[in-house]
Amino acid sequence: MFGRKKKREVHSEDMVLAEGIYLKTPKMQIGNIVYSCFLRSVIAFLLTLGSVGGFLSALQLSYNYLLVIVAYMLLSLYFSFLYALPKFLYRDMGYIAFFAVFVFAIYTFRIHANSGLYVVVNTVLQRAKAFFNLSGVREYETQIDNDYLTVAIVAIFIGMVLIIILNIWLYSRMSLIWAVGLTFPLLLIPLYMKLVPDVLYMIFLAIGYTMVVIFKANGHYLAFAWDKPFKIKEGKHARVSYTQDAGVFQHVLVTIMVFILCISFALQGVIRPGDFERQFHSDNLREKTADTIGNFILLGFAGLYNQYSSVGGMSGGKLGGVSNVRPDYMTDLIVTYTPYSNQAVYLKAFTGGRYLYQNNEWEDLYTYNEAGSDEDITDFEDESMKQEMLSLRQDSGKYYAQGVMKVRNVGADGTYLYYPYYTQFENYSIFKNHAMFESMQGLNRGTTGTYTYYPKIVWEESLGETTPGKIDKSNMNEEFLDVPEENADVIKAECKKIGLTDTMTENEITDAVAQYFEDNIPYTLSPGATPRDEDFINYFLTKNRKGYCAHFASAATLIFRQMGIPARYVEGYAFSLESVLASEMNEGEKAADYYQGYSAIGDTPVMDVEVTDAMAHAWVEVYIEGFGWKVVEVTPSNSLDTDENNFWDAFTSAMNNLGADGDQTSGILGDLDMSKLLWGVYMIIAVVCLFVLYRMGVIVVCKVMRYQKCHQSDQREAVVARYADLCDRIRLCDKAFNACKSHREQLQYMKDKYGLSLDITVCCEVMEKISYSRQEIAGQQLVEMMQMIRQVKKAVWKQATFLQRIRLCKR
Amino acid sequence: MLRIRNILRYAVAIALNIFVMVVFHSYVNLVLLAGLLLFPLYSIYGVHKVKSHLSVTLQAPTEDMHKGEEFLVRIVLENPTWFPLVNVTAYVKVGNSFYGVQGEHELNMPLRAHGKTETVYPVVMEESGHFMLQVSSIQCVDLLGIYAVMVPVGQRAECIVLPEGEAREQEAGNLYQKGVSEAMESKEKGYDFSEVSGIREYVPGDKLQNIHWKLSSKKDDLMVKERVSVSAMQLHVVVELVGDEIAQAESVLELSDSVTKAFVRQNLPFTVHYYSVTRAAMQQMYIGNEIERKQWLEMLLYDTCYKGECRARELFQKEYPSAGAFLYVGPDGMDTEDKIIGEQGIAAALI
Repeated sequence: MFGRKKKREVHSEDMVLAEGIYLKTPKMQIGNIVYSCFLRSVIAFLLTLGSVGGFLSALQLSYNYLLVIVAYMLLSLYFSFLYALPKFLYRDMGYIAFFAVFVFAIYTFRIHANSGLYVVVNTVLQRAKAFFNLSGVREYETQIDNDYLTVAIVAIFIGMVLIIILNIWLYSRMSLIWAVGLTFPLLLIPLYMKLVPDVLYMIFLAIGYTMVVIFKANGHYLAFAWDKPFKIKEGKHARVSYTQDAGVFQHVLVTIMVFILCISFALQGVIRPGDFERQFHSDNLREKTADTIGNFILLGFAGLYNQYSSVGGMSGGKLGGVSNVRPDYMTDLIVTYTPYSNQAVYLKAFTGGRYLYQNNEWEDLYTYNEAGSDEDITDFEDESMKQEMLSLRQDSGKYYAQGVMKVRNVGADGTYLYYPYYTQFENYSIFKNHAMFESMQGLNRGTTGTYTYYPKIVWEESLGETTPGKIDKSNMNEEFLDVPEENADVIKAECKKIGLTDTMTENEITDAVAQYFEDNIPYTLSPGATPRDEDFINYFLTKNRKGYCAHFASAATLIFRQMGIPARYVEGYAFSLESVLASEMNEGEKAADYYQGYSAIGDTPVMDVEVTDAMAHAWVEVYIEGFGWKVVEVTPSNSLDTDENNFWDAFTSAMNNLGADGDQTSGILGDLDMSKLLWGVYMIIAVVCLFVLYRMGVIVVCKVMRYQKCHQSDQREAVVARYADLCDRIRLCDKAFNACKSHREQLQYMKDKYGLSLDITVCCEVMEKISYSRQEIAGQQLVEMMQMIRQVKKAVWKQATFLQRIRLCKR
Repeated sequence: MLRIRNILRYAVAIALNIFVMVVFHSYVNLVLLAGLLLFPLYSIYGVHKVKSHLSVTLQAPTEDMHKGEEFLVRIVLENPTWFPLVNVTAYVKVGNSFYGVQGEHELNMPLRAHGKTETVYPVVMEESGHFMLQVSSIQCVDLLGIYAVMVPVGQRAECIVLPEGEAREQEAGNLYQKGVSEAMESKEKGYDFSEVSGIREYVPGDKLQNIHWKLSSKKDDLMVKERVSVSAMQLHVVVELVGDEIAQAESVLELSDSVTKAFVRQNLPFTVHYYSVTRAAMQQMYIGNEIERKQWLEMLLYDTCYKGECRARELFQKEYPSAGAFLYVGPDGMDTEDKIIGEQGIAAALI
């Protein structure tokens, strides 16, 4: 029973129990390291599955459970084993290997992951839409329809990240804060929307948390392959502590499982979820935060601090806070008409009069007049260009045309009318102005407006050939020529840059501006928000120099005004002939009922054009002497935006265009300011490079100095330097060499360790003489010493391990 | 301190959970809260359950060991309940009673549910003596690390670690021959004294001169001195268990072991005498074989060595003034050539 083992040895590594009584390594059946790792991996597994599974179950998303569970189990095991490896180097290599696999997997399954993520995001948004009663929540288009698989894949990727981080914090600290911080926030999303996760997942989480609490409180959670069963602390409070024990780990796990299961089921018998909810009479959190969360869901992070992304559609002249435009491509309007020209069709909605400096806003030209309705009627006639319509209607020339357009509001802002240019309204008094939203004079959703209009397809060459100075402005509203003082300098400078002069005609000026914009200022849907305390137009023209239609139209309006051309800012929808051709024909309607007169493109059928929010647009109207208001398109066609359909593409694109122009990229997570992120990456890379360069510099300098010392003209000194260098080398490879203090000990060590045939006595004598005396030494002896040193150096290098060689090179 | 930290940590967890539960109206957190509130009770109940059922067994080698030899001491905790504990701390005392040395330490181990948890101590004693390991009490900490109970144990395991003297048979044999011859000479001269070897109750037939009157008057029963003829024991070995330093006493033991082992191997009977500190009297034992010799060594090692003056030689000479030659194992200083020199100034000399 008690084995005898003859063993007399120094007890340097043994614990002194009492004088003359030594304890060798105590033993205990702590279990197989593989089993220990398996048990430990259960915590990360339960937490991850509880979190991700609970989240998905609350959203009632079904996915390939088996695949997810197996993947989580394997991942947890893998990382648990990494922490049990005998060397930290192996763990690092394990991480690198996993990273390679991760990159390969994410590349291979990027479309699946992307689709799965969109399914999850869409489901969250749908739940949010129902919970917050939101309208117009965007949905992301999935490329793969197999939700069962794609959701599982995205769950695996999310779980992978969780498991990696959890492993680090569980196996090194058993940190409850990290465990909860990483796993519970995901559940807050459904919990906020009163979606309850499945009980089973909650039990998993509870078991995981309890295990963390227990082992944090008690310790003994670290399991390493090199672990001895006990750790020994000697001294006044001597203590022999066990390191870890798979047996007790397993028993605690089972105990916790039983306890949590009992509690869960017992509690459900006592208090049901519904009864619990009824205990709360008020819901302060949701009442106070619903708006903010709703904004967040609609607009992303930017929605939280008023620098939101626009989802497309009308902005009503409000310009400043939009950092980027992310149309959802949902249909806003359905336009039924007969195409008559290859030019874009503009549907007018908002007309801006005075530009409000620093409010970043175009004031609605037609404000509510309390005094009486006559002025309102005049205003609307002016806005809808009644005079121009009448002149076109009365035109009996070759290019006369009359059309009917039906505009059905599906998802557009119902406070505006959306009518084609030169529309004849039957009753101008019912459309008073846009400040009276409550009067329902806009085109409400679900309703259809039918407009008779007289398009001007061909413009006479003489129109617009007047210089601005000669335009009759006597009856003109002065707001159409108003340039705020604060903008004037910038606008003038811009006019100068463009090369505008007073002698240029209206057409020349509008063409020059459009061309200048085309050539010099790129179009982008992500120009970034205008900083606070900056004016929208000034910032655009002087600093940002990129933008979307609202930027160009706003700037051009002021430029035209500065040049003396009456101009106004307009918002609405515009669609091109390409969009029309891509639309469906309305075979139930006759073309003759919709269009009569001249057509630039011949006979065409009636088309139902789906106008999406991406077709929302801003443009300029300028007053042309001899006719009236005309559309001027100044938004350039050149675009900075890449075709980023999904998060991964955006990410890849951002990585490919590292800092090309500092453009911002939008993504499903809101405004990912990639340029800032990349600057951070740049900085890190730069710091790392600098550090590496510095280290390399130090190494090179040291090497050069050492070389100089070892090859100096004084051979005695050279031998001393070489011997010192040799000793340094050996010390790097073997710390035991530090114990050798004298030349004799050192040389003896070299001889024993490297198996060299040295005459210790002779070598020692020579070295002692060289180092400590002034006696003359024969040149031959010095050469022999140098040879000896070289020989040992070679042997050191030969016997060094890979890491030791790196260390030798680094010095 | 750790327990306070654990309590605070746990309280924070409960508070956070209540916050999330109230703010989100989360049933999940209600379940967690119930668990958080009940688990300490469960955990504390578990500790008490363990306390009342925990048993500790200490096992040391039953046979004698030799110094420098590794032997295993087992500390077995048996927990028949279904409550595991992650931290159980045994307060362990380890010592060598012969030299009066003792050390204390804590042994921290897990306590598995419904089974045994065994820790094995591989121990090496560099000095001979009486090894003793004692667990006075055990502290059981609950699973949350917030509550602890002490379980009194008082278990003890012991084992004799014998000295291992060098083989010095030739020298010992010579000394024996010389010693016996001198003793025989004394006998022939008529100095055959007897000595008291023990005391027992009176049996009819015992000589009256052997009655121990003093003791009999105290005990109200006749007690008789057992006498043994000194010359019948052939040779007396007097061991002086003195040692101002452990090494010195160790040397006495080793030399005694060497000499006595040599005598037994050569079938030379002898009587050993030593002074027992625990009994405060000289002890003697006749040794004719190895078993008896080991019994003597065990008896010797159960006792304690003493410091300062040498007592055994003086007392022996007082008790047996005309015992003739005897072998004295103790500090060297004898002016004789008939001796075996040991380490640390110890010698076995024929006096």
